[in-house]
Amino acid sequence: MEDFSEELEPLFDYRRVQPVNLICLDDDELDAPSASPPKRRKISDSVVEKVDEPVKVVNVISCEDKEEEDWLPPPPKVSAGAKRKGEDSTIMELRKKKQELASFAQSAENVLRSVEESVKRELSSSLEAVEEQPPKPRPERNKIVISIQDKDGVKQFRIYADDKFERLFKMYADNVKLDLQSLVFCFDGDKIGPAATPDALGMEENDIIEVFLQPKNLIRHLDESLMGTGRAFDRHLLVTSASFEVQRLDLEKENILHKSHVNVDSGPDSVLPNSVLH
Amino acid sequence: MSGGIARGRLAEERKAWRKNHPHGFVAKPETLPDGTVNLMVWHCTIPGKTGTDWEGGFFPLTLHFSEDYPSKPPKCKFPPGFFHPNVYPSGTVCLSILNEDSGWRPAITVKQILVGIQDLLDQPNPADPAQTEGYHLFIQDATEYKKRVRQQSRQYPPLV
Amino acid sequence: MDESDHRMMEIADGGVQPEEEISDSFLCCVCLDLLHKPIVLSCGHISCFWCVHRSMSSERQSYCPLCRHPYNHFPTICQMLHFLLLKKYPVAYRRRELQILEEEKKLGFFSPQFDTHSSSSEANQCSNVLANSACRRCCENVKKIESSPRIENSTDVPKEAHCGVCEGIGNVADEEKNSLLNMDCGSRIRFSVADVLCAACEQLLFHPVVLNCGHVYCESCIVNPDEQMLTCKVCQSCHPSGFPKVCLELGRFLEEQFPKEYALRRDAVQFKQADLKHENPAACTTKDGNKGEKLSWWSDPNSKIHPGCGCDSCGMYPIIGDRYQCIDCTEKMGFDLCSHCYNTRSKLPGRFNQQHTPEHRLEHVRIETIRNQLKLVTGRLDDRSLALLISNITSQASSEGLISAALSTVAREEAESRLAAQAAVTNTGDEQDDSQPTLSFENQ
Repeated sequence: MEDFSEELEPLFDYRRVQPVNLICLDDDELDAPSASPPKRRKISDSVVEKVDEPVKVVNVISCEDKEEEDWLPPPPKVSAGAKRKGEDSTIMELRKKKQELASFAQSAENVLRSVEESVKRELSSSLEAVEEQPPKPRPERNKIVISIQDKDGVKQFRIYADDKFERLFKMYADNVKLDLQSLVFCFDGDKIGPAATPDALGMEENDIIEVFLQPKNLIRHLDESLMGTGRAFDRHLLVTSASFEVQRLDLEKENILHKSHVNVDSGPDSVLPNSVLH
Repeated sequence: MSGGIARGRLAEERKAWRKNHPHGFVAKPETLPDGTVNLMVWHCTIPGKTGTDWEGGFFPLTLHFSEDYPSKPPKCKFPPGFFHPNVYPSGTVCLSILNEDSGWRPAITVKQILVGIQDLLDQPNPADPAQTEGYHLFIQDATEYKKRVRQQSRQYPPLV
Repeated sequence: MDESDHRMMEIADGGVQPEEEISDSFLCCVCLDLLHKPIVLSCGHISCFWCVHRSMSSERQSYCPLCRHPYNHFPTICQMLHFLLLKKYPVAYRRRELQILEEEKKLGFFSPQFDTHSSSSEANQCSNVLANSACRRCCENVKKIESSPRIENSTDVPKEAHCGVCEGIGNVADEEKNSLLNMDCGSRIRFSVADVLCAACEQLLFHPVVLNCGHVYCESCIVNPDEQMLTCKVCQSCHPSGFPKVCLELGRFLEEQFPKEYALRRDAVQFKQADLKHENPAACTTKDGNKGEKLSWWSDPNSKIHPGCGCDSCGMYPIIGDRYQCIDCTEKMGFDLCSHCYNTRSKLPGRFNQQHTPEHRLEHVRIETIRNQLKLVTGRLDDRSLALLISNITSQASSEGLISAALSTVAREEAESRLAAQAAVTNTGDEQDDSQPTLSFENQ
């Protein structure tokens, strides 16, 4: 008895997984080149800071900011057109700067206006429903720590909860020096598509993604397994057709076996019909 | 007294499982069609151990918990007709730690159950047969037994 | 910055306050949460009050949820451990307290309430005065706490508990809540040796063992040369479950908290043991003692079992033999005593916060009233075989109104079948003895 419990003891291991080698997947570094010119970004940011404290507003803005990026005439285009005309470069530089400044002013104005609007909206809505406010404030995009587990161990990553897994998977493949194509990622037994996000899958802090190495002979394997299922299916049918018959016997047997266990292991303290003893 | 702790305990088990579980295993409570989670039934997957004839198979197992859990063990079922000496034709696993009167203890967790069943796959207990086919092949015809096990492992491939 | 905001988020997700990280040693193996009102079984394993009670069998012997060590008596909460946990995890323990109180209110069954405020403050006082060495006055204080009746509900609950259980209960609940909320969080938790003294030698516990009554001793301080039933020196109640094993989790905790003192105690105890040539009895005697007990109970064909009824004094569950029921207690749980505790005039209050007093009248439960229990049993039991057996018999017998007769047969039947099973196991019974009960059963 003692030995038995001793043997099983180590399995009660509910220690939280500690971040061992936390790899930070920070947007700031990776997004820098693709994002809009840093200057403009800064302005809109500072505007935001100046404008208001309600945290929710920031969120609205960051959205609007992004839209802006899309429809504002991108400065580089202007400069390209200018170069074609072959005018004096310094003048062009100045003009470009001016345009840029104008666009900044414009965007700042837009931002301000939108902020005002959203604040108004916010106020009116918050007057109507005060309860709604608490869950809303979200200072920035949520980050969560996700563990990726292969058969040798666990690696942890911190990613945005609304970011596509694509980036994480690439990161992981680079990290373990394996071809991304050969890896399959699963969460709770379901394969994760590259376009899914932690939020969409309802993932929580420290959730585990399992990674499997896709076998090279996948097609052969699949074929075989299909054949296997075919054969098994027939057998299965047989089994199910006989199962009504079997079920009864099974139950009986289960009962008897159950009882015989009882007899052997803890005989005196269970109550059983005596007939099964014989 | 009958206000069981089954759900609370299962919620804790699930929480712990999400943070830490052995590789390749799946254990999640079933989600009903209306989107609610039923903690009393768990759908699990047990991977066959590497280096055994069970390797490559990912075997579906359903755990049915009663309101008396963890005082009483859950019922663990493979699909009906599962080939193994200690699995009843109905799919119910016969294992001492899953027997309330012999080996079950409330301290046994879902994780231990699943790992225990994984061990059982490659180490059947001939003293405790539960089906004729698997049992007879196991003790009489080792090669045929091996063949059948491999075939079954292919029948439950990983989800790719 | 990343780390900190990660932590912030976790807190926001987790709920109201940041909770302490709970050591694995103090997670209950049944509910997997922080131990609440801990009970130490005689095998040394700890579980919550309700978790132990729920994992006990209502109609036969029970097994430790961790190691399946058999036992028959529902032990009393270990107050020392209770207050240690309260001190170590104030936030988490409070959450558990409130959560369980809610459940109890829903069910109408209550666990003993402790006077958290006075006890903890008194313990604190002690700990302040008494840094390391033993101070007489404080030891006496500690002893007083220990020896005072383990449940101090008389101060908690107004006397009008009689007029309505629910009202009384509501009051308890509110007061409990208030005292919990008023308790200050305590910036830095300090444990002192005074919190963890042996009830016998009044020194730091070394290899602590917990008796059925919840009192804690050093393993080496318990000696019973005559192999008789142990009795607690503090409360005089019996320890029926053989020689208790060391509570390893508590021992580990003590060693962590007081490494120096614990090492000193180890040396002292080892020296003493070498001197006395005292062998370590923990492993062997337990099993033998228990087996004997089990045999005498189960093999006696006349033993009456009261399924689902436990003795509120010694904790025997289910009660075997005569049962005495309080007719003045209004609680849903009721109040029962086994014949031994009835005869020794135990004055302990109930184990489920019943307001039992020595003035209450007790009534001998006759076997006839088992008719009601039968219904109860068939309704609640999950043991397939027994439920089946009983329902079979009831269906046969009910038409003739013979339930009570049938039941006494059942009882005998049970005992006989047990005998038979035992005989089969040990291979000593002869065929005739084996088959007889079967025949009589089928003739039924």
